[in-house]
Amino acid sequence: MRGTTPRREQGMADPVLASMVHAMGLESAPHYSAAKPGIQAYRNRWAELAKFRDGPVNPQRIEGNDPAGMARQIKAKAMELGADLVGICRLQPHMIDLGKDVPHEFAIAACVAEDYEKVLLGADAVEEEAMRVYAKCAEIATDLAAHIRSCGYPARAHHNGGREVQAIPIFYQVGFGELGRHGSLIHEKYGSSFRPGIVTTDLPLAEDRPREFGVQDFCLNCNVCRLNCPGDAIPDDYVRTHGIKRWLIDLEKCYPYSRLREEYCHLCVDVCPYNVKSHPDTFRAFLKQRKKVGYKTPQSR
Amino acid sequence: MEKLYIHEIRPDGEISTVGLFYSREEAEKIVAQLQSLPEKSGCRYEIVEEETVR
Repeated sequence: MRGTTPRREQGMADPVLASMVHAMGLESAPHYSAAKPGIQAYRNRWAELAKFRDGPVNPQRIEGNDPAGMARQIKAKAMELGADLVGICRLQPHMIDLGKDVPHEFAIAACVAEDYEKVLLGADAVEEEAMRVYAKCAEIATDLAAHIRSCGYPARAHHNGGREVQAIPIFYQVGFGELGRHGSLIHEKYGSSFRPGIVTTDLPLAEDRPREFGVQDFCLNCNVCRLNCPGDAIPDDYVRTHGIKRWLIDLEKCYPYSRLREEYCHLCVDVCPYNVKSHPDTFRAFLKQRKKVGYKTPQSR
Repeated sequence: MEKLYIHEIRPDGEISTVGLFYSREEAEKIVAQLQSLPEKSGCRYEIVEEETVR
Protein backbone atom coordinates (compact mmCIF):
# COMPACT_ATOMS: atom_id res chain seq x y z
CA MET A 1 0.00 0.00 0.00
CA ARG A 2 1.41 3.35 -1.03
CA GLY A 3 1.28 6.35 1.26
CA THR A 4 -0.35 9.70 0.59
CA THR A 5 0.63 11.95 3.51
CA PRO A 6 3.66 14.25 3.27
CA ARG A 7 6.08 13.96 6.18
CA ARG A 8 7.84 17.01 7.54
CA GLU A 9 11.47 16.03 7.94
CA GLN A 10 13.42 16.73 11.12
CA GLY A 11 16.37 19.04 11.56
CA MET A 12 17.98 20.75 8.59
CA ALA A 13 16.28 18.29 6.22
CA ASP A 14 13.12 20.32 6.92
CA PRO A 15 13.04 23.01 4.20
CA VAL A 16 11.25 25.46 6.53
CA LEU A 17 13.92 25.23 9.21
CA ALA A 18 16.74 25.25 6.65
CA SER A 19 15.36 28.35 4.97
CA MET A 20 14.76 30.16 8.29
CA VAL A 21 18.31 29.39 9.44
CA HIS A 22 19.67 30.66 6.12
CA ALA A 23 17.44 33.76 5.93
CA MET A 24 18.31 34.80 9.48
CA GLY A 25 22.02 34.13 8.96
CA LEU A 26 21.99 31.63 11.79
CA GLU A 27 24.10 28.91 10.20
CA SER A 28 26.67 29.15 12.99
CA ALA A 29 24.23 29.94 15.82
CA PRO A 30 22.92 27.22 18.14
CA HIS A 31 19.65 25.72 17.07
CA TYR A 32 17.59 22.87 18.44
CA SER A 33 19.68 19.75 18.56
CA ALA A 34 19.46 16.64 20.69
CA ALA A 35 23.19 16.19 21.10
CA LYS A 36 23.14 16.70 24.86
CA PRO A 37 24.96 13.82 26.56
CA GLY A 38 21.94 12.41 28.43
CA ILE A 39 19.94 12.38 25.25
CA GLN A 40 22.54 11.00 22.88
CA ALA A 41 22.38 7.59 24.57
CA TYR A 42 18.66 7.35 23.76
CA ARG A 43 19.29 8.43 20.16
CA ASN A 44 21.95 5.75 19.86
CA ARG A 45 19.50 3.16 21.19
CA TRP A 46 16.84 3.75 18.55
CA ALA A 47 19.50 4.00 15.85
CA GLU A 48 20.95 0.60 16.81
CA LEU A 49 17.43 -0.90 16.72
CA ALA A 50 16.93 0.29 13.13
CA LYS A 51 18.42 -2.86 11.65
CA PHE A 52 15.98 -5.05 13.60
CA ARG A 53 12.82 -3.33 12.35
CA ASP A 54 12.06 -6.20 9.98
CA GLY A 55 13.37 -9.73 9.55
CA PRO A 56 12.71 -13.32 8.55
CA VAL A 57 9.27 -14.75 9.22
CA ASN A 58 8.82 -18.17 10.87
CA PRO A 59 7.56 -20.55 8.14
CA GLN A 60 5.49 -22.38 10.81
CA ARG A 61 2.48 -20.07 10.96
CA ILE A 62 0.10 -20.26 13.94
CA GLU A 63 -3.69 -20.33 13.28
CA GLY A 64 -4.98 -16.85 12.46
CA ASN A 65 -8.71 -17.46 12.39
CA ASP A 66 -9.63 -15.65 15.61
CA PRO A 67 -8.81 -11.93 15.04
CA ALA A 68 -10.44 -10.87 18.31
CA GLY A 69 -8.52 -13.41 20.36
CA MET A 70 -5.31 -12.60 18.53
CA ALA A 71 -5.83 -8.85 19.14
CA ARG A 72 -6.22 -9.56 22.88
CA GLN A 73 -3.00 -11.59 22.88
CA ILE A 74 -1.05 -8.94 20.99
CA LYS A 75 -2.29 -6.18 23.29
CA ALA A 76 -1.32 -8.25 26.35
CA LYS A 77 2.12 -8.84 24.83
CA ALA A 78 2.62 -5.12 24.16
CA MET A 79 1.60 -4.27 27.75
CA GLU A 80 3.99 -6.95 29.04
CA LEU A 81 6.75 -5.28 27.04
CA GLY A 82 5.99 -1.96 28.74
CA ALA A 83 3.30 -0.18 26.69
CA ASP A 84 0.70 1.93 28.50
CA LEU A 85 -1.70 2.19 25.54
CA VAL A 86 -2.26 -0.30 22.72
CA GLY A 87 -4.66 -0.01 19.79
CA ILE A 88 -5.16 -1.68 16.43
CA CYS A 89 -6.53 -0.43 13.12
CA ARG A 90 -6.53 -1.33 9.46
CA LEU A 91 -3.67 0.46 7.70
CA GLN A 92 -4.83 3.13 5.21
CA PRO A 93 -2.87 5.15 2.61
CA HIS A 94 -3.17 8.42 4.58
CA MET A 95 -1.34 6.77 7.51
CA ILE A 96 1.72 6.11 5.33
CA ASP A 97 4.39 8.61 4.22
CA LEU A 98 3.84 10.01 0.75
CA GLY A 99 5.56 7.80 -1.82
CA LYS A 100 6.45 5.03 0.68
CA ASP A 101 5.16 1.50 0.36
CA VAL A 102 4.09 -0.60 3.36
CA PRO A 103 2.87 -4.05 2.33
CA HIS A 104 0.78 -4.74 5.44
CA GLU A 105 -2.91 -4.78 6.39
CA PHE A 106 -2.87 -3.67 10.01
CA ALA A 107 -1.18 -1.15 12.30
CA ILE A 108 -0.64 -1.67 16.02
CA ALA A 109 0.09 1.44 18.09
CA ALA A 110 1.93 0.67 21.34
CA CYS A 111 2.56 3.87 23.28
CA VAL A 112 4.37 4.75 26.46
CA ALA A 113 3.30 7.61 28.73
CA GLU A 114 5.88 10.19 29.76
CA ASP A 115 6.51 10.98 33.41
CA TYR A 116 4.60 14.26 33.63
CA GLU A 117 6.32 15.11 36.94
CA LYS A 118 9.32 16.23 34.85
CA VAL A 119 7.52 19.44 33.85
CA LEU A 120 8.42 20.90 37.24
CA LEU A 121 12.14 20.29 36.61
CA GLY A 122 12.51 22.40 33.48
CA ALA A 123 12.98 22.06 29.74
CA ASP A 124 16.00 19.75 29.80
CA ALA A 125 14.25 17.25 32.08
CA VAL A 126 11.17 17.27 29.84
CA GLU A 127 13.30 16.72 26.74
CA GLU A 128 15.29 13.88 28.31
CA GLU A 129 12.07 12.19 29.40
CA ALA A 130 10.65 12.45 25.88
CA MET A 131 13.79 10.86 24.43
CA ARG A 132 13.78 8.11 27.08
CA VAL A 133 10.21 7.25 26.14
CA TYR A 134 10.97 7.34 22.39
CA ALA A 135 13.76 4.80 23.01
CA LYS A 136 11.45 2.61 25.11
CA CYS A 137 8.83 2.74 22.33
CA ALA A 138 11.49 1.68 19.80
CA GLU A 139 12.32 -1.33 21.99
CA ILE A 140 8.67 -2.30 22.40
CA ALA A 141 7.90 -1.99 18.66
CA THR A 142 11.03 -3.99 17.78
CA ASP A 143 10.21 -6.80 20.23
CA LEU A 144 6.53 -6.87 19.28
CA ALA A 145 7.34 -7.10 15.55
CA ALA A 146 9.84 -9.92 16.26
CA HIS A 147 7.17 -11.73 18.31
CA ILE A 148 4.65 -11.52 15.45
CA ARG A 149 7.23 -12.74 12.93
CA SER A 150 7.95 -15.69 15.25
CA CYS A 151 4.23 -16.52 14.99
CA GLY A 152 4.59 -16.79 11.20
CA TYR A 153 3.33 -13.36 10.02
CA PRO A 154 5.26 -10.47 8.46
CA ALA A 155 5.70 -7.51 10.80
CA ARG A 156 7.77 -4.33 10.77
CA ALA A 157 8.57 -1.93 13.62
CA HIS A 158 8.25 1.83 13.05
CA HIS A 159 9.98 4.19 15.46
CA ASN A 160 12.49 7.05 15.57
CA GLY A 161 15.17 4.76 14.15
CA GLY A 162 13.16 4.32 10.95
CA ARG A 163 9.53 4.51 9.91
CA GLU A 164 7.23 4.79 6.95
CA VAL A 165 4.01 5.47 8.86
CA GLN A 166 2.64 8.52 10.66
CA ALA A 167 1.61 8.25 14.28
CA ILE A 168 -1.24 10.73 14.58
CA PRO A 169 -3.65 9.30 11.96
CA ILE A 170 -3.04 5.85 13.45
CA PHE A 171 -3.60 7.13 17.01
CA TYR A 172 -6.89 8.66 15.88
CA GLN A 173 -8.09 5.52 14.12
CA VAL A 174 -7.26 3.18 17.04
CA GLY A 175 -9.29 5.40 19.36
CA PHE A 176 -6.58 6.94 21.52
CA GLY A 177 -8.28 10.31 21.31
CA GLU A 178 -8.91 13.46 19.31
CA LEU A 179 -6.69 16.08 17.73
CA GLY A 180 -6.14 19.03 20.02
CA ARG A 181 -5.70 22.68 19.20
CA HIS A 182 -1.93 22.33 19.75
CA GLY A 183 -1.76 19.84 16.87
CA SER A 184 -1.13 16.70 18.91
CA LEU A 185 -3.60 13.99 19.74
CA ILE A 186 -5.13 14.21 23.20
CA HIS A 187 -5.87 11.12 25.26
CA GLU A 188 -8.41 11.44 28.06
CA LYS A 189 -5.93 10.35 30.77
CA TYR A 190 -2.44 11.10 29.41
CA GLY A 191 -3.20 14.29 27.47
CA SER A 192 -0.52 14.39 24.77
CA SER A 193 2.21 13.20 27.11
CA PHE A 194 2.89 9.89 25.39
CA ARG A 195 5.06 8.72 22.49
CA PRO A 196 4.57 6.19 19.73
CA GLY A 197 5.90 2.82 18.79
CA ILE A 198 4.10 1.27 15.85
CA VAL A 199 4.10 -2.17 14.22
CA THR A 200 2.58 -2.92 10.83
CA THR A 201 1.67 -6.52 10.09
CA ASP A 202 -0.46 -8.98 8.14
CA LEU A 203 -1.47 -10.86 11.26
CA PRO A 204 -5.31 -10.81 11.18
CA LEU A 205 -6.45 -8.65 14.10
CA ALA A 206 -9.75 -7.21 15.34
CA GLU A 207 -9.74 -3.43 14.84
CA ASP A 208 -10.41 -0.70 17.38
CA ARG A 209 -12.49 2.35 16.46
CA PRO A 210 -12.02 6.13 16.70
CA ARG A 211 -13.33 7.54 19.97
CA GLU A 212 -14.56 11.03 20.68
CA PHE A 213 -14.99 12.35 24.19
CA GLY A 214 -15.35 16.10 23.71
CA VAL A 215 -11.72 17.18 23.20
CA GLN A 216 -12.31 19.32 20.14
CA ASP A 217 -15.32 21.08 21.66
CA PHE A 218 -13.20 21.74 24.73
CA CYS A 219 -10.30 23.06 22.61
CA LEU A 220 -12.62 25.55 20.88
CA ASN A 221 -13.09 27.34 24.20
CA CYS A 222 -9.84 26.58 26.00
CA ASN A 223 -6.91 28.83 25.22
CA VAL A 224 -4.34 27.56 27.69
CA CYS A 225 -1.93 26.26 25.04
CA ARG A 226 -2.29 29.48 23.02
CA LEU A 227 -1.84 31.60 26.14
CA ASN A 228 1.44 29.82 26.86
CA CYS A 229 2.86 29.51 23.33
CA PRO A 230 5.89 31.84 23.25
CA GLY A 231 5.63 32.23 19.48
CA ASP A 232 1.84 32.63 19.12
CA ALA A 233 2.01 29.67 16.72
CA ILE A 234 -1.32 28.08 17.63
CA PRO A 235 -4.09 29.24 15.30
CA ASP A 236 -7.68 30.35 15.79
CA ASP A 237 -9.08 28.52 12.82
CA TYR A 238 -9.05 24.88 11.92
CA VAL A 239 -9.03 23.00 8.64
CA ARG A 240 -10.46 19.59 7.79
CA THR A 241 -8.31 16.70 6.61
CA HIS A 242 -10.07 13.47 5.66
CA GLY A 243 -13.17 14.94 7.31
CA ILE A 244 -11.42 15.46 10.65
CA LYS A 245 -11.01 18.89 12.18
CA ARG A 246 -7.39 19.89 12.87
CA TRP A 247 -5.45 22.99 13.80
CA LEU A 248 -2.25 23.60 11.81
CA ILE A 249 0.61 25.01 13.86
CA ASP A 250 2.44 27.91 12.21
CA LEU A 251 5.97 26.56 12.03
CA GLU A 252 7.48 29.92 11.20
CA LYS A 253 6.30 31.14 14.61
CA CYS A 254 6.96 27.86 16.44
CA TYR A 255 10.51 27.18 15.27
CA PRO A 256 12.25 30.20 16.88
CA TYR A 257 11.27 28.63 20.23
CA SER A 258 11.24 24.91 19.44
CA ARG A 259 14.13 24.62 16.97
CA LEU A 260 16.23 27.77 17.04
CA ARG A 261 16.97 27.72 20.75
CA GLU A 262 19.19 25.37 22.72
CA GLU A 263 16.29 24.39 24.95
CA TYR A 264 13.31 22.23 24.27
CA CYS A 265 9.86 23.81 23.98
CA HIS A 266 7.06 21.45 24.83
CA LEU A 267 4.88 24.00 26.58
CA CYS A 268 1.73 23.65 24.46
CA VAL A 269 1.49 19.98 25.40
CA ASP A 270 2.62 20.36 29.01
CA VAL A 271 0.03 23.04 29.89
CA CYS A 272 -2.90 21.12 28.32
CA PRO A 273 -5.62 20.67 30.97
CA TYR A 274 -6.06 17.05 29.89
CA ASN A 275 -2.92 16.33 31.95
CA VAL A 276 -4.87 17.11 35.11
CA LYS A 277 -6.52 13.70 35.36
CA SER A 278 -3.31 11.72 35.61
CA HIS A 279 -1.31 14.31 37.61
CA PRO A 280 -3.68 16.78 39.34
CA ASP A 281 -1.21 18.25 41.85
CA THR A 282 1.68 18.54 39.39
CA PHE A 283 -0.55 20.13 36.77
CA ARG A 284 -1.77 22.79 39.22
CA ALA A 285 1.77 23.48 40.43
CA PHE A 286 3.03 23.75 36.86
CA LEU A 287 0.27 26.16 35.86
CA LYS A 288 1.13 28.32 38.89
CA GLN A 289 4.75 28.31 37.72
CA ARG A 290 3.65 29.35 34.23
CA LYS A 291 1.49 32.18 35.59
CA LYS A 292 4.40 33.44 37.68
CA VAL A 293 6.65 33.78 34.63
CA GLY A 294 3.93 35.46 32.56
CA TYR A 295 2.78 32.41 30.56
CA LYS A 296 4.57 33.04 27.28
CA THR A 297 8.08 32.98 28.74
CA PRO A 298 9.92 29.94 27.43
CA GLN A 299 11.13 27.47 30.02
CA SER A 300 14.69 27.92 31.11
CA ARG A 301 17.31 26.01 33.07
CA MET B 1 7.84 33.53 4.42
CA GLU B 2 4.71 32.97 2.40
CA LYS B 3 2.15 30.56 3.81
CA LEU B 4 0.44 28.25 1.37
CA TYR B 5 -2.24 25.70 2.03
CA ILE B 6 -2.69 22.70 -0.25
CA HIS B 7 -6.32 21.65 -0.55
CA GLU B 8 -7.30 18.36 -2.18
CA ILE B 9 -10.65 18.50 -3.95
CA ARG B 10 -11.97 14.98 -4.40
CA PRO B 11 -14.20 13.77 -7.25
CA ASP B 12 -17.23 13.83 -4.90
CA GLY B 13 -16.50 17.48 -4.04
CA GLU B 14 -15.13 16.76 -0.55
CA ILE B 15 -12.26 19.06 0.39
CA SER B 16 -9.36 17.82 2.47
CA THR B 17 -6.49 20.10 3.52
CA VAL B 18 -3.17 18.39 2.86
CA GLY B 19 -1.19 20.85 4.95
CA LEU B 20 0.47 24.21 5.41
CA PHE B 21 3.66 24.85 3.45
CA TYR B 22 6.08 27.75 3.35
CA SER B 23 7.24 27.97 -0.23
CA ARG B 24 5.55 27.49 -3.59
CA GLU B 25 8.39 25.18 -4.60
CA GLU B 26 7.75 22.86 -1.64
CA ALA B 27 3.97 22.94 -2.19
CA GLU B 28 4.27 22.24 -5.91
CA LYS B 29 6.60 19.32 -5.23
CA ILE B 30 4.03 17.78 -2.86
CA VAL B 31 1.21 18.29 -5.37
CA ALA B 32 3.28 16.66 -8.15
CA GLN B 33 3.92 13.65 -5.90
CA LEU B 34 0.23 13.34 -5.06
CA GLN B 35 -0.81 13.68 -8.70
CA SER B 36 1.53 10.82 -9.63
CA LEU B 37 -0.48 8.40 -7.47
CA PRO B 38 -3.08 6.45 -9.49
CA GLU B 39 -5.58 6.53 -6.57
CA LYS B 40 -5.44 10.35 -6.60
CA SER B 41 -5.97 10.69 -10.35
CA GLY B 42 -9.53 12.04 -9.87
CA CYS B 43 -8.45 14.67 -7.36
CA ARG B 44 -7.78 18.33 -8.03
CA TYR B 45 -5.33 20.41 -6.00
CA GLU B 46 -5.27 24.08 -5.08
CA ILE B 47 -2.30 25.90 -3.61
CA VAL B 48 -3.73 28.97 -1.91
CA GLU B 49 -3.04 31.45 0.86
CA GLU B 50 -6.39 30.79 2.53
CA GLU B 51 -7.27 28.05 4.99
CA THR B 52 -10.43 27.37 3.03
CA VAL B 53 -10.95 26.73 -0.67
CA ARG B 54 -12.13 29.68 -2.73
